[in-house]
Amino acid sequence: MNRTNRARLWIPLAVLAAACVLVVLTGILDRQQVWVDMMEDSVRQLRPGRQSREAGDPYGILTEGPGLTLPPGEYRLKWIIDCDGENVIRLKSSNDVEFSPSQLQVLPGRANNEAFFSFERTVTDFTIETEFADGTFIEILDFRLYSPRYRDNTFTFVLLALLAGSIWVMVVRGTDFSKRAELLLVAAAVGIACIPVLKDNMALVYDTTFHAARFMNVAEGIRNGVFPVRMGAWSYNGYGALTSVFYPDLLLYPFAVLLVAGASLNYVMHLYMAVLSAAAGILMFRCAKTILRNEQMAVVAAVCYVLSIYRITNCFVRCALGEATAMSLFPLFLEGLWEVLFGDRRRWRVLVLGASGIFLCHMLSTLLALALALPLMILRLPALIREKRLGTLCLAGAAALALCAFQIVPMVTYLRQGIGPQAIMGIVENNSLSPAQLFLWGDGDMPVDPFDSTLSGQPLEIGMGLILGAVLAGYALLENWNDEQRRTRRTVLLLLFLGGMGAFATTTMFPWHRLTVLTGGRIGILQHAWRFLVFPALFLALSSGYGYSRMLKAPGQAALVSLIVCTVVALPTLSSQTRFNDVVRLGESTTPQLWYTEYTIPGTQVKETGSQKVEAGEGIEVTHLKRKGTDLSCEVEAEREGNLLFPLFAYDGYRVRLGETELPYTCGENNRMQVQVPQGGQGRLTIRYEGKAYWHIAEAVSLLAALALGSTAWKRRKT
Amino acid sequence: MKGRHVRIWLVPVLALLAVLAAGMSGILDRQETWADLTDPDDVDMVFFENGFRQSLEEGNEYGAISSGPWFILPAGHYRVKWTIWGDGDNRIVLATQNHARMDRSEHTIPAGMGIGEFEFELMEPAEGFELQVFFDQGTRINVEDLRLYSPRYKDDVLTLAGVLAVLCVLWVRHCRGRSLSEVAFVLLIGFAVLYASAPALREGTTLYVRTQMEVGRICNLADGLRSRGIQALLHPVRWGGYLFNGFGSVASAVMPDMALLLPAGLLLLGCSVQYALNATYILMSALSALTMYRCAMGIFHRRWTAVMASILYVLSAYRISSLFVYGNLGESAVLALMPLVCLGIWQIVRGDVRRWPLFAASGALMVLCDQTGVLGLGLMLTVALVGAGRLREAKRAGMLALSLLFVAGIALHWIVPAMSYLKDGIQTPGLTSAGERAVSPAQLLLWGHGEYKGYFSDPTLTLGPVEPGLLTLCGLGLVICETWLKKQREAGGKEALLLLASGLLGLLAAMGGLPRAGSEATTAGAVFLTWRMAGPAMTFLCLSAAWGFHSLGRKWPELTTLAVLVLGVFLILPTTTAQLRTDNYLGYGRIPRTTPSDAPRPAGAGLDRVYENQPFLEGGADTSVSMTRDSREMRVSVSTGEEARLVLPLFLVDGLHAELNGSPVALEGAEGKRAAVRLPAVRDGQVRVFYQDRPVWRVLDGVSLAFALGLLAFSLRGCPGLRRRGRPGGSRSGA
Repeated sequence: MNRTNRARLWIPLAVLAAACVLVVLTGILDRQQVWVDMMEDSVRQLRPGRQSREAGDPYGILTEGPGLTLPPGEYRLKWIIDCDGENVIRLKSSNDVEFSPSQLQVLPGRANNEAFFSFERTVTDFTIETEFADGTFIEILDFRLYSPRYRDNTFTFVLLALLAGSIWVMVVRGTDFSKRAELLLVAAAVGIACIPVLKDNMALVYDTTFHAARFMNVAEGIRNGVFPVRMGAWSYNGYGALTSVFYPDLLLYPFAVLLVAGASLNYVMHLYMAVLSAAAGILMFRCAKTILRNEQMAVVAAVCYVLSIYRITNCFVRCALGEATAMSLFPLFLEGLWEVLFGDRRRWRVLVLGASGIFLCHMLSTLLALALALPLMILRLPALIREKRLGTLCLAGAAALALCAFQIVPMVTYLRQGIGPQAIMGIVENNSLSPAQLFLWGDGDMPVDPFDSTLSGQPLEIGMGLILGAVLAGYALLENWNDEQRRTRRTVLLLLFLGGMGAFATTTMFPWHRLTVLTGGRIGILQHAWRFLVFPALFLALSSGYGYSRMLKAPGQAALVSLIVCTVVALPTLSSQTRFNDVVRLGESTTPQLWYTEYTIPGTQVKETGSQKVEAGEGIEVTHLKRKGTDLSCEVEAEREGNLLFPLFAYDGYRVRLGETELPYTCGENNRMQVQVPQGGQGRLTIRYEGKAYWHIAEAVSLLAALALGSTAWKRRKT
Repeated sequence: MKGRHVRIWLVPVLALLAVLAAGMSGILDRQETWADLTDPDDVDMVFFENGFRQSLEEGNEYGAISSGPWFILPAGHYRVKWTIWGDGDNRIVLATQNHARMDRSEHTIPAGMGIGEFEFELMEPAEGFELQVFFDQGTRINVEDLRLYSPRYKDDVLTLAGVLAVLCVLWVRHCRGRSLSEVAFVLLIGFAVLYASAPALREGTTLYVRTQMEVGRICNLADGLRSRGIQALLHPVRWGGYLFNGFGSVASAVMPDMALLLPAGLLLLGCSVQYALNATYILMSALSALTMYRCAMGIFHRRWTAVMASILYVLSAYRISSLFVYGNLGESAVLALMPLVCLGIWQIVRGDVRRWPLFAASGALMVLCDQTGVLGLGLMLTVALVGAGRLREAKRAGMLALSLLFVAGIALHWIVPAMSYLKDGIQTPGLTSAGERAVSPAQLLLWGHGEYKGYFSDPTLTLGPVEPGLLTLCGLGLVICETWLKKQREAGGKEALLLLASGLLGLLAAMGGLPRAGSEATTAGAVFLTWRMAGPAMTFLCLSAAWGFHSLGRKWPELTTLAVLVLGVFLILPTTTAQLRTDNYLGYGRIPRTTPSDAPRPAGAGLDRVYENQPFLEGGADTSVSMTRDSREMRVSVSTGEEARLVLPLFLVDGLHAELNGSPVALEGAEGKRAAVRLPAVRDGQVRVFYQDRPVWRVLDGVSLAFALGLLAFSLRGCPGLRRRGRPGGSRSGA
């Protein structure tokens, strides 16, 4: 590259970088939510209008509300109150959060007043309480609340700049875009699938609160310098949650970093959903290219998969982000599995990556992946032995286990203690679907007859685009039976069979009852038979790639038709979820007072987490209480032996020290941490979640495995 | 050669054995379990007003502590499992609102027993079925669980049989060297059928507009078939003892129900009502696809035109509406047969006249399926008479007349009894009450999505979507473009135009554009609702539109078919989705009430008294009455010290006969059109009541049978298709 070319490459990149730096430093693109007209919308006036002593109005509280759930940060409150005395505004919450300051002074006169206040934990049911405490009259005219400034648009700018920079580099390096033109259709599919995230407010659907809590837990951990985060310090109003242990969240870390860096929760979750769609498209393209050995078919498969209804339902109707992440990674897993079982076994690392990825985002999907892989392996066993692939398969399995050891070991530790997903066990047969449901055209949540338990209000369908693709695949296969290669015939038949079996497994026709009896009810861990819709989505998208492409042979035609059909099928659901009327608005947060009981100590009443006080027994004095995540410290002085009850659930893994002395702890009331302080004990008591020492060995194993995999992959790439 | 035969037929034989094994072992039998009867959150629950625990110490009293779940259940063998703790003997009482007979009415729960079960048999359908727990003894009772198990149904065995039958056909074709590519196009039609059948792919069913009526008629027919046994082959069922809580109805005589034979047969084979209905819905769609394919092939002789016609027809809004908004099986069967009638009449008027038996046979079947069949036949004939100059040829006109003679002859066994009953004053509110309902032209240009809720306020729109649909209209536009605007006409253009004109005639009629008096006169008012003319019109329109699409995309027939398929499915999806998710659900193992208000019954027979379904004596002294009944007859043991009148739980209709101790006695009408018998003073008298056709009707049955056999003979002797002389106008696989 000569000097001119180098300048042509680097100058625009430098300009972009400078723009990014400028935007970040100046905060010019920062966003702020302003709650205006609060007196009309949300702050409830208990005694409306002008209050006057002369008219006989008493002193007392005049307002309450607005009942917002707000993330921590510095807020600004503006008010216009006409009065002739010194009155008070108090800031309150229902989850015992401390405001700084918690009380604002309202001075006599009628002027715009404002004050800043902040708090360190998410507030639920935020209340502005105005008290008429002095003077002869008061009239409340306006309240305005200003959120902290969020860096959402700054991050968007940086991301777009990165994208533009990458494209520019490709342009300068002479990349032939005409060969990649069809990928634009995949990008279009991703864009369409992202419609519901292209807005400020986030729909509050089935699992939004749960997954928001996962993001917040990780962010809280990062903010407190914890890695990897195991004990969630945000959930259950800070009482601690083991969600990260049972519901791995390794992939959430980059997004949690954005939260820490000043992005809003809505932005981060929306960005995550968009990334999931993009990942689904890219990975399915790769997977289909490997299996079908045709780029045009791969494009169609990617379009169909990105716009498959079940994936969209997971993202936007259920907000089941764990499952949606697993769906994005399933093509990677399938690609690896395919290579090890049928193709180039030297690419076993793809299987390791796919399997580990699925494990590290969703446990139930891991079970589904096993349910897919095991029968295939058994069917293929003679060939595996004959072609010496069994060793590769075992190696891949071992590598995946090693890679995930850091997650597996803590999980097993707690499972052995009786903590786990028992609370979510369901009866799968009760959650299977009438086959009719698979052929509907849903538009988001729809009411169904409560007498019919075999239909779901959610759009749990395969989608016409995929079914048509499968039919076209069957048609093309039969039409070209003699012309088609034997390998292609077998591949397409296998894909159709696996997709069909997946669909069958979701229905009431599948013998779920017998399976439940056979497994002693353990199959109930899957909760819903319709989870198997992931397989029709995966395999019918692949077979659609073949079907549409064989039916429409002109370049781009198949991808375009599949894009149109799948878009029309998906649009009602995308539209209705975009217009969903229960939302978390920009600047607000979901509640940390969760009602999910999974992964808690059996018997825990998760709703009773309102108090943040340390309850001390008689003769024990607790002062200077400080809290940072789940780390807690206070000064203790005990005249006699007694118990301290902390606002933390007593999971195993905490270390409690009084001075240098380690104290044991037990489960107190509602499984809260109860520490017995000896008589005369005094000094600084610290509580810190440290886990188990042997977990570090597992972490080291995982790290070594990752390094080994990386280095061998690098070497193979170089050779 | 022998080995090849063994290879071919071994698979079907094995399949048959598998079906027999599954049927006999009961391994695939299905059973509904109402397991959450004591779950307060469940919609199907037994209601405990004062809670599940009752204790004398807490002020509770002895007596019934529960009511509900008020199910409507079909006859059959049921099981109840209970978990009830008490320190005294208590009871579970089985009660019904319609006084259905059952072999036991209560079960004792011994003190301290805890868990137990008992079985009982419902001998007739039960309405408002209740499990009443009685707190009779001891100081406390605690009801922990109640479960009810339905009879076992053979649904899955029949599904297995169907699937294996299709696979065996494919296997035999494959073994005989037929290429798979020959049947590849069936997948595309199958896709259309699949989507057109979506609402039927479930365990339960939606209660569509006419489902209650249709289920009543099906069960009534099944009851009649059960009573007639093998005789039903010679003498069709006219009366059944199911409808109106066992008061019986001559629905089968008044309303043609050939289409209901299939679901009735499935019921007799041990299937559930839901399965019988759903299977019929699916088969209707499949049959429609098949007949339309045949019809289009017969007219245009081009496969892709036929495939498109088949898809258009299967996905036509009117047909979907008929199935899944109105739930009208008879009309759906008519729509399924209409293409064959169309092809038959086409052959007589413009094609191979030797194929006239097709018109006669399909026309007769259509008339025997639903009264709208007469309407369709009328429209077809009108078109034939108006649009075909070639009919002037003496041979064709003669064949048309001969066909009509056969249609009338075969339908004679229904026409005469139906007229007779109508003349006797049998009310058919379902046939005659609605009068005229012509639709606005606007209706024909809509995109329906299930039921239109403003139906009652605007009589010029229909409850269900009956529009031709955007797709068909596009096809028709293409026909006009291709035939009128272009100089060079594609083969079949003239036919397409004629079909288009015929379809428009039907639509015109649906909008009330044709003189109504004529149709009223010809159909004796039996064909109500003018908009139903849109149904037969769709046959013509789909055929014509298919030609239009094919002529547009003659170079890429597969692509055009794909476009038709996709658009067609999109156009019906809102309706199928809405109808599946409607809140009129009939759960598996249940039935609707046996008292559809529009089923045929004697004029003045009210439905409010049919729940008093026990015979009783008017007058007399020292009386006793007890009754047993089955599908064939009702037997009443009666004793009375003086003359009395025995009032029976049956509606009095012509054909009911009574015997007292073997001697015939006259039946007379009692209050509410109930049948009654005057009795002398009698001790241990046996009154037997049964239904028997008039002798002249039996003769007519023979005449109809003779016509049918004659037609069969003609078709075997004269049908050129059986002689393999080749087909006019091109090869079978021509594209």
